[in-house]
Amino acid sequence: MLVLLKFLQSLVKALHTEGTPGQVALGMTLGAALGLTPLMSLHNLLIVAAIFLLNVSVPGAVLGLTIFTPLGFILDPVFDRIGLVILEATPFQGLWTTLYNEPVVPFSNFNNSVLLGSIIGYVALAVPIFFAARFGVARYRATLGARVQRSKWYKAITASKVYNVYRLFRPE
Amino acid sequence: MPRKRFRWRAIVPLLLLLVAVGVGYYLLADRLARNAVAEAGTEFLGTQVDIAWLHILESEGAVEVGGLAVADPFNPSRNMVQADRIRIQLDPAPLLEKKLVIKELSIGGVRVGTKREVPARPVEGGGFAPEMVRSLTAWKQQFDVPLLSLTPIDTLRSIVVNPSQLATVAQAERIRAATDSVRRTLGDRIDGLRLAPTLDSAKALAERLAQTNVTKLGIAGTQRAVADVRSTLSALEDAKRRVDAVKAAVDQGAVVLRSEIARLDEARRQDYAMVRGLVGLPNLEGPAIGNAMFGDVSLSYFQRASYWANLAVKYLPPGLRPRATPGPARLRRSGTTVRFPKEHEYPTFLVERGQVDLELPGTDEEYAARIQDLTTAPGLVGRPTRVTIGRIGGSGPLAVQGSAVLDHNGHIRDSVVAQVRGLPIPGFAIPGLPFRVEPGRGTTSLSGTLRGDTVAAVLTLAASNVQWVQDSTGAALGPGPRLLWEVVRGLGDLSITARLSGTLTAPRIEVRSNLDQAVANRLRSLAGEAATKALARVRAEVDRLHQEHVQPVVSQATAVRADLEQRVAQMEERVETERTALEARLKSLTAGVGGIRLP
Repeated sequence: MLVLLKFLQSLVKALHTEGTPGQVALGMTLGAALGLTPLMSLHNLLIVAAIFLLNVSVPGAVLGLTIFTPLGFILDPVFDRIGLVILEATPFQGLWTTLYNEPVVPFSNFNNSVLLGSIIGYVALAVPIFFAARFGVARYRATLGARVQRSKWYKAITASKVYNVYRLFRPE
Repeated sequence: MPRKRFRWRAIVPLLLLLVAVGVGYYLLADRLARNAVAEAGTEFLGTQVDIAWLHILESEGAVEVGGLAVADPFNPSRNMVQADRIRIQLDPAPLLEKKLVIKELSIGGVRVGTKREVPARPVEGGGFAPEMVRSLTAWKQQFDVPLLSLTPIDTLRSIVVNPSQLATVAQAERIRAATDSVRRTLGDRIDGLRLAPTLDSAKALAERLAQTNVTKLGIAGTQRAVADVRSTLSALEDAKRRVDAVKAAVDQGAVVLRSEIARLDEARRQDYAMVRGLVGLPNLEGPAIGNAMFGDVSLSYFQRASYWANLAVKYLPPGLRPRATPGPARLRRSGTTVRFPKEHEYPTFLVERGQVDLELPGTDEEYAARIQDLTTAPGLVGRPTRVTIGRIGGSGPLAVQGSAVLDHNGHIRDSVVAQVRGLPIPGFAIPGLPFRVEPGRGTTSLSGTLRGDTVAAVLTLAASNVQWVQDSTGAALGPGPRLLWEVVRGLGDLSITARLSGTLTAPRIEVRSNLDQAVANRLRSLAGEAATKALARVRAEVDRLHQEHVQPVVSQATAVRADLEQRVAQMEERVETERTALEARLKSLTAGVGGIRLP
């Protein structure tokens, strides 16, 4: 129930911020990285920093994380297979060997099949996610947005303290 | 107004977050590291590892650990090793590459075999080490150490054996399968040779030429005849090559069948032992007594040695090829983590030098084990791992000495020699009998080699002031155990030699002791004529079942082998006959027509 509530909050916030559809879509795309790839990874530190420092929609990122986390779990066997094939592919052995013996790089766990496969999957999906999200947000705002904004439950969410915290990070 | 690309006001919360992480590290790093190390050690060794405290000394590039206890994987109420303090001096540069290079390892206050206050938890789940511990436990159980069963012999009325329990019957099934495979495969190959057209053609040509007058053929006719003969000879050469290839395959098949049949002897010995155990008869041979009385305790020593050997084989793999291991445990799928070692780079783990200070009970002397070049990538280090144990302080006769070399450069070539003298040897029970041995102080030595998967090891236990102790249950001994008790109770000297051979996955053990003959003689006198007759009945029953279930299969295998060999021999003979005949014809043709030699 709590997860559902959080999801609804993220959804509402993302769709009704002052951010442009592009900002929301970019937030969702960055959030998708957190959802599709194993969360506790070095590259996700950079993604989190980017979400906060770039002028993108933070609720959009939370929405992306919420939507793509279950998808990440579902796609893990595929990521595992893709990652292992690429890690074991003869043409890449030199690259992996060099990277594995460089400073800091091994902490990224790039040599794990699920992590590498999920990053490749994310890179392949990032552009479609961005454009689909931007189109979806624009269509929503043009059709249902105004009606939802007038609803009681929307006002309840925006009046909460959580919303005030959120305002710190809303797109300018 | 153009939108800003950066959200500068988020920097402050992010910095606060970083500060919080720093504070969290300061407060929790030692505790988290301690838990992580204990958890990783448990998974690595397949037995519970406890750590009392751990301090990360960032400024010194070192880690200190205290109160380490590693449970004995085969005895949860004891510690395999316990250490009061450990100092690990790290090389900082490799840490950036996620590699652990220990410049100096010092372990102090080490004791072995100490009692645990709380029994260790069994390590559940997968992973190499827990599975290896389970398989070594099963490995120990697989040895059919015959118990000194002393069931009254006169109770033996009948022997009922299910043939499917017999090793010979199982072996017969393997022979049957091998026979079918050889017959089908090689029969098809022989049929597939299709030599008849070539041989018939050669025969017909030879006969035709034999009836032909060469002088009437003329030069052109003779040239055609020579060409025909050479062409047919070439076809015969080809046929011979194919027959030779099939003959080699038949010989190989015959070797397989012979070796399978040869294994029946060992299987039959197992069957005698199995049926003897089934009806509760003791083995009255001296060598079997050694296995029965001291096989269990010898196996316990070898089990521990095998544990370390297996760990070394797994974690110190030879070669520099990428190595795949299961990924980290997490909510998401673990996947596979592949490591890519590279020449002239740091290995993932290396102890350049280490010293382990040993505390020996009952002696003031100081002993230490020195370790050099212990690494997970021997191919990178290029030197074998060496461990030596010796005295570093005090005087008197040496109590502990030993050395081990783990050479995993290219191939696995490990060797170990160790001796513990004058220290108490742990007591042990005699399987199937209500008394135990307390050897007291004595000498234990172990030497062994591991070449690839082949193991050869010798363990000796010797003590001169042995105590034989009856179980504390107080139950009166039966007539058999009482007689044995009378044999052993006065014996103060004990000398056991156990040999392990074979492969790590299928080892063999043989145990001898100075008590074997005395106990065997006493057993014979106890069992008397009835036992001899009963043993004869056991052998007769096994032989009968062998005759009924196994002999037909052996006969069939022998017949198939003989048939294939005969068929190939006939083909060889036929090819040779036709070739000889044609060569004779060719000789007469090329001898010349009217003094002219034909090309």
